Amino acid sequence: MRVLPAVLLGAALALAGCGEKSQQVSYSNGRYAGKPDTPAWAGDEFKNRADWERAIKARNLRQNEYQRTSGRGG
Amino acid sequence: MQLTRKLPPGAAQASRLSRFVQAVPAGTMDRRAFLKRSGLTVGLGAAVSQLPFNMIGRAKAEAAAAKGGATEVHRTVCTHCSVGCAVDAVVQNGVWIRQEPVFDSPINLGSHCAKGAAVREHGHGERRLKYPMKLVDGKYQRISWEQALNEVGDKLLAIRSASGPDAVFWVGSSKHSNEQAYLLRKFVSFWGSNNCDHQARICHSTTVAGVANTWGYGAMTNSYNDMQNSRAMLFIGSNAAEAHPVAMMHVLHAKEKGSKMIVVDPRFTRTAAKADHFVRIRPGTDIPFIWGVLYHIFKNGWEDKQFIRDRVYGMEDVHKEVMQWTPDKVRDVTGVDEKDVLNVARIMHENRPGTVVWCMGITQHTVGNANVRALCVLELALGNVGVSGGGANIFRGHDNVQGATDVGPNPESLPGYYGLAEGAWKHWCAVWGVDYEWVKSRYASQAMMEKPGMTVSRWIDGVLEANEHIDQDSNLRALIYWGHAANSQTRGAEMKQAMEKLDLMVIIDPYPTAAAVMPDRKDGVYLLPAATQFETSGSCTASNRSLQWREKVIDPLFESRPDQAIMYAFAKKFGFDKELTKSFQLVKGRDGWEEPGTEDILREINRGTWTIGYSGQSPERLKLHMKNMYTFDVVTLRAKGGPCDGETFGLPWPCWGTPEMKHPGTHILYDTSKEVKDGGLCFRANFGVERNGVNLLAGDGSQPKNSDLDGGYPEFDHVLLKKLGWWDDLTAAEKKAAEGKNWKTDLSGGIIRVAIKHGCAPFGNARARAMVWNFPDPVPVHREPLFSPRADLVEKYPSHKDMKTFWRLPTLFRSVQEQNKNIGKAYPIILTSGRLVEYEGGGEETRSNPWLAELQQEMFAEINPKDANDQGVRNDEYVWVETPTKARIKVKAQITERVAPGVMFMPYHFGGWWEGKDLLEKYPQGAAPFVRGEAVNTATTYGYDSVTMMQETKVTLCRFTRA
Amino acid sequence: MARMKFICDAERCIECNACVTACKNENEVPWGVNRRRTVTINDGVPGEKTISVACMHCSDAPCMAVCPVDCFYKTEDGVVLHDKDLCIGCGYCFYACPFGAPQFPQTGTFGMRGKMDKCTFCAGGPEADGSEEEFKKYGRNRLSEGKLPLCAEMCSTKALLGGDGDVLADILRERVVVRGKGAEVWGWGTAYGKPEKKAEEPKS
Repeated sequence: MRVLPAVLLGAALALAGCGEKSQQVSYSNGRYAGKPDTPAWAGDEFKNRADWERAIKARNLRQNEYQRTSGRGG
Repeated sequence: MQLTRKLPPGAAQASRLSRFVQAVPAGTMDRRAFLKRSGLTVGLGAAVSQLPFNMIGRAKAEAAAAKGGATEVHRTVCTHCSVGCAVDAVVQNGVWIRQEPVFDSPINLGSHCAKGAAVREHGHGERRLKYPMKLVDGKYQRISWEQALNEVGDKLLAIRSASGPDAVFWVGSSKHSNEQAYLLRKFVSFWGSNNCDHQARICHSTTVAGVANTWGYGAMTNSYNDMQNSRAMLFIGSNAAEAHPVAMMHVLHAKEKGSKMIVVDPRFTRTAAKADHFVRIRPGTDIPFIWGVLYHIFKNGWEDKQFIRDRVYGMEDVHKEVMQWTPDKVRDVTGVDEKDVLNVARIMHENRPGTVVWCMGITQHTVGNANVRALCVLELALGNVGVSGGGANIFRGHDNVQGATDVGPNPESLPGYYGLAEGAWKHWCAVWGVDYEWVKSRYASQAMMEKPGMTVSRWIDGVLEANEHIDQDSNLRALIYWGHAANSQTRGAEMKQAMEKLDLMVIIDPYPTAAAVMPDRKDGVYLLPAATQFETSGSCTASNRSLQWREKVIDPLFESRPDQAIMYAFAKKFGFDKELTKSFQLVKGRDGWEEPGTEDILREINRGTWTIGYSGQSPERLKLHMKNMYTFDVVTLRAKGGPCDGETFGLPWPCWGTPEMKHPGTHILYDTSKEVKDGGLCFRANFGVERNGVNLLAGDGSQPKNSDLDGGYPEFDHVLLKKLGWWDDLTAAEKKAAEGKNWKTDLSGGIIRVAIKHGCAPFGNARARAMVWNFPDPVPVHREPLFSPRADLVEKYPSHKDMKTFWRLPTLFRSVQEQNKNIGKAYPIILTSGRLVEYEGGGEETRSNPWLAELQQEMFAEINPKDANDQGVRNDEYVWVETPTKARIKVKAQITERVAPGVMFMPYHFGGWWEGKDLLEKYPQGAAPFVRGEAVNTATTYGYDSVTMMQETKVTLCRFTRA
Repeated sequence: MARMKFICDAERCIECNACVTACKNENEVPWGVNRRRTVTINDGVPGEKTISVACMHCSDAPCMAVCPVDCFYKTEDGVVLHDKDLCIGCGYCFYACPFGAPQFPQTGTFGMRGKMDKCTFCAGGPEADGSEEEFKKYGRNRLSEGKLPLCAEMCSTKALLGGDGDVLADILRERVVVRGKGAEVWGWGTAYGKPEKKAEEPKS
């Protein structure tokens, strides 16, 4: 399994060697073409982004059980 | 090349990783990769074609969301194991739309396992049994509740009048709430029989009996949370990572902080994968292993001599037995080298306090009661009992198996371990407000009233055994499975025969269960839809003895009814509804049904259950705890400030005295460093004050903190109070109630109050018994399993003598063992069974949950590569597994070194197949679980514990061939 | 500024699959589509380790790079999402993804036939936040409610962490200091590139 890409890559080089045009397309990050989305903090619940981030951070800390086992409360 | 655009940096590495994720190499294939390859994950078509109820549920949920009705949050507790994880259920217009983590819970801090994270599916219930059904000409037909109650009721009454009340066996449930379990014991008593039981029999009955006889109470001594204080954790016969995943949060937290984790198991379990040390033993050799560890402890003088001197009886008898287990003998019997045994002893010695954790790997043996006592002795020898971080952390199974054991349908006792003697009956009749003579008249005789009933593990013999050999008038003729999986019990092949011989089988359950499809019957089976715990309210007791109150989340789905409503309906049919509900207010349930209010039932439990301190946990106090979870400390479980200040979460029993006494509950049993009023205790005086001239009470200077009595004392009663001059501490009303009573039967709670006021434990202060003289093996000794691969060891360590009547039935030990002494030649592989994280018990409920079922789609057997190669079996092929019963089951082979050569492991959650055949067409339409498979117990063999009738599931023999 | 990340602590993960069913539960993901799953190496032998895998919401996401219709976008808080109306179900993103995250439903029970489905970090999609349309196509939008992905919030042993990368790094650092040995955090480098702080590979 693991040798497969190398073999394919070899084949691609071989083709190039025969004067074929390279099929490798140069990459650029495309621009998003879909519907626009609103940010998570856009709803009525939060005043602004900072407010939302505060809420998320507080919530995030609840994934840390050390918050409650070392007597820090929360 | 698959990418036609420029490779972003790191993509080459990325594609390597993606292959790693998508195709784990065969050598390290896990269970899920294995299942994927078995082709079942593409069985989506089949799943979708059976989705009607799911779609209805979802459509409803979405319609509700669209309407934007107000949402409510109901706090409940997961129903899948004994950890007790809190769940916040978000309900909109009566539909359970979301499930949120309860970070505030000091037990689970928001965490769940696969099952807990999927409980909202109970709000869909797509594969539920939806209405009462009756087997007509081999097919299940829908009937009305009225017809069901009348037909079942009439048939039961006819059997009762023809063959007596003992001809019916009532299998209750460890998934009942405390209130339902309690009400069922009362209900069966009024029916006139002790023939009732529940899952605890086949789960931790040996623990309860063994541990209670050692030091007083049959329960986990500490808590999951308290393991954070352990410096060593010895897991033996426990696979917590699959059976109690959220407990592993506390365990791994402790390990992170330096606690040493040892796993002793025949299998390299997922728990073992997290351990510092793994020791593989031969199944069924726990006592030689534990004695091997204790041998090194004694030899090196590592035992806690002071503790033994003050608080233990009979250690010298143990010492004699232990010193015979020299390292060479231990190695021969268990397969463990001396250095590994010594290593365990050294770790436990050097890291105190240390705790021992055990589960079914210890309990489900013919020597289960002795196994658990050997572990208790180990902890006693190390002085690890009654201390934070120590103890016997016995992880129980079902969500309310502890509570159902404490107050539920047990054949040998009324609620609260009061037993069945006349005094116990009179106590409970007084609590129930019924006439003792009336209850007696319901029974066949006073003798039958005081004789323990049959056990759920043996009901099949109650049907099949010749009548002259059983210790009651009639054989069993009717069976009620009220929330129990038939496929979790051994000897399935004989169970099928028994089911076919019964006159009547009634299954009261949210799901049809395997019992609905096992027998080849044409009629005489009724299925009655029960509601889950999310469709009613009530309390449940977690493994650590904490009680939690569940709010009702949604109304009962389809035509299901809460168990207490069904009990009340049958009581009306049987004519004892007034007696059953004397102190309960009736509340209106669905469709105008009446049912006893769950708060009232709990208050009655409070008023009667003094023995184990179920008396202080009023519904009001429990609800206050549920509301104020955030105020409780995670390690001590104690509330700091707030309305529950100083109380322990869930008021773990014993929560002494009346609710008004405000006892905080007992977090750690037998902890003398605290006052009894703050949850301190000592060992219970339950076995007399002396034996053969040896004092059984605690030594001088050993008593709970600030006790007015020094050293040991017997249990409290009116005489002792008077002798001590404390009688006048009682109020006039208390004096009246307490006269002639003891702490267990004084309905005022005054004796308990006064004892605690003086810093004393109401149950006395005695020594723990390392030697339990009333058991068949007072000091645990090794006895080979009935089906052993070692004929030589069977001769050296034979099983017990057969018993003629034991729980009303003849019970075989040595004769079975003798007969099968050389069976290892024909059946060379040891067969053992256990848990998967995705499923619970017999698995009907969890295999009917698509979110879980998708994760484990096929029954399998773990086989060591050596054994597989010897049989020419390749991974993922079907094999036929055959046991000495000649029953054959067809399962997929999973080849893995998780098991040792010569050992096969199978999960026990599957059902719905019978000897290679899928029974899908036998299920009521639309109510078959998504995943069905062969039940391991179709093939399991005979074997029961010599005290509790626990079934042997962990050691039998088998052979297998390619299918 | 919060950047959303997942990490899975292999020292803690016990392959209990709570993350998998939590995801199914919260997003009503149908049978056969697995936005999240657990992967175990050395199964059944010493050295057994499990990790929970889903879309890692990579800093430089290969799926975005290869999508021929440019249906992917990244939110300001670092979540990689896509527009199912645009997706043509070609499967390029599946090949590009180092974590095998993109899923392709085989039936029409969820979203549109053949459209790619993946973990949204419980952030829904481009439809209006909390709308029925969004729920049907993408699942719940917990982020807009100030909550984090349910898989991480319900993890049995708090092995799987999800949220602001800085907070996760702090949580992990505390554990590693207590443990006294390095964390085995799988996939961090692949998903998020070089650590912004040294947090995920603290000294022992």
